[in-house]
Amino acid sequence: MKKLTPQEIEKITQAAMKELGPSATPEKIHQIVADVVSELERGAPSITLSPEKISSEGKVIVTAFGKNQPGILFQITKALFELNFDIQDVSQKIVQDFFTLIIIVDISKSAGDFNQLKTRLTQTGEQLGVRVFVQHEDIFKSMYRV
Amino acid sequence: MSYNFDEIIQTLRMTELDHFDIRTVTLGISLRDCASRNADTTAQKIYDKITRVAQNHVENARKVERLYGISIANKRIAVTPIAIACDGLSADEFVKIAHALDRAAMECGVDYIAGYSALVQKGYTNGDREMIKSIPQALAETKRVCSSVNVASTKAGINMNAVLEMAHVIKKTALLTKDNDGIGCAKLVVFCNVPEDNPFVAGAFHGVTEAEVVLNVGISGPGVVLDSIRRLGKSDFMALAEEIKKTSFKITRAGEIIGRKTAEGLGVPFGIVDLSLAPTPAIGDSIADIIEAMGLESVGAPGTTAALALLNESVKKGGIMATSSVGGMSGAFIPVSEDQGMIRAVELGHLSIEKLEAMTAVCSVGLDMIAIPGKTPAETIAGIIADECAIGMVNNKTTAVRILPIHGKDVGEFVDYGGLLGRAPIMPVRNLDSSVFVTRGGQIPPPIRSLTN
Repeated sequence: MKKLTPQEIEKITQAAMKELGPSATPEKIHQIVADVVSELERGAPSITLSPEKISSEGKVIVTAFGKNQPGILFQITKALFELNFDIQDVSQKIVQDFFTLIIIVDISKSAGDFNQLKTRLTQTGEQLGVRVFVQHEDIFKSMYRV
Repeated sequence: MSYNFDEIIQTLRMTELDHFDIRTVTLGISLRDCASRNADTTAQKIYDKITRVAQNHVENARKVERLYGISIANKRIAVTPIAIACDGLSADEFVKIAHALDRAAMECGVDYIAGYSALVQKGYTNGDREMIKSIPQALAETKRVCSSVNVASTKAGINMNAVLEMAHVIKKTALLTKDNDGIGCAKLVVFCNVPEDNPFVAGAFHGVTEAEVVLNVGISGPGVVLDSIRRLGKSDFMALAEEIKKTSFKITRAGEIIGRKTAEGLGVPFGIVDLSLAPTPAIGDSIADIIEAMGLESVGAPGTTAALALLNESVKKGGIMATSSVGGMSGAFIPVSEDQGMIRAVELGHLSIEKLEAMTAVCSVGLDMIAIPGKTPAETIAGIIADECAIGMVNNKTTAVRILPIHGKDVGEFVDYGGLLGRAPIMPVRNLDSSVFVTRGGQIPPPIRSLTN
């Protein structure tokens, strides 16, 4: 809500007189100016939004893929440990020379936050030359559980 | 462990190899309370309201993307049809509103804002008339504003005056934006039976019966369906339909959760999931490729319409179980310039406008992103629009025309917009005169099926 200055009101009055031309009467001009002033002072329509924080609860699923080499599981779990995340389940497979790792991590009990976890693990993946994905479990729940 | 190894790998395969993404999260905003007697005041109110409601839209969607590891290709805004929100303005004043929308979109960091629209299937108000008159200039002078006009419906019939006028508007828009290959026409859609909750720009707007604000989501995923059909190999049609349904279920569930979380993060109600399969110019993310994977030599071959009908129906059946909030278009899109397979078929001469028209009878949305010679007369374009409207009106479905008469170009040449709009070869249009028919004026009456009560 803002208050208009006398200069601004003067400008509006001039504009109203110009627009009305010969049909201008003091009553009409007064009415138009009052309308415009009240509308401007009211400002844009208000609307109340109530955003919720996007969840940092539940479990996330960490997946890593790449060429096998010693230390992948160690480096990734080390990163999780350092950020104080609790590992719930680990599953690892090596097919020919290709390494696949899936770790389920509980993020609700940890002090660390999801974004930190994602950034850190992506970096770790880059250093090791493997691709690491971090996704909230809800996506898997909704896609595969009816 | 509660998650199976294969399910996790499959999801990553979808997002990493098959281009699975959420095509759009579109924030609908009502502008009905922004009207005022002065165009500048209205424009300011519109700008203020949009920027206030949508200021966190893009950042919020990015958070959701990070959380689920699924990308959201577009974050967009739809508003109340401007002809309704600002009825009473003159054409020049409507252009000011378009600029306000453009500025608001830029401020919010969204690439397109839709709803520079009018609904005239049964007739024009004075405001509708002025607004439609302003479209070519508005689209030429803004970058982000998208426009649509509904000219027909099953209930009202076809407003042939509006059809003809829109043909002229398209030609004029092409001319005013000729230095950019008529890009204005890529932002302009003519509809029959337009849905009021469609999240897909350019045809989106925030319907007048919608709430104050709402968030709608449009899924994508032709690449995922293509991959599942290829892996299925030889099978009968029942098995094929089942496979598509299963895939559609998964992608719709992903769309639903992402839509809901995005809405929660913004603090707005969640609206609908649009079950449309929308292609992109990326290799493999193509409806044409799906049709070919079903066993046709090329899209356009006899059997194409049947294949598309099977695809479209199966996507809906899989999707309807996955979400209780279905809306929008909900049908496969067949935009030519945005689908590598379609472009290839047009270039090889396998796909004509007439075949595309037949295909639009069994899917959404219509003749979409089709480049034609710039010399095509407005009356011929009106004939094309009238044909699409007739299909939509009689079959009680949405149809649309987004056609690009490319100034100074002819069959054999193409236009390249880059990005999601892609590249369109100029298609031949039948050189026969429709002018006496389309200039009769008045309304084509609605079909008998409009009398449902």
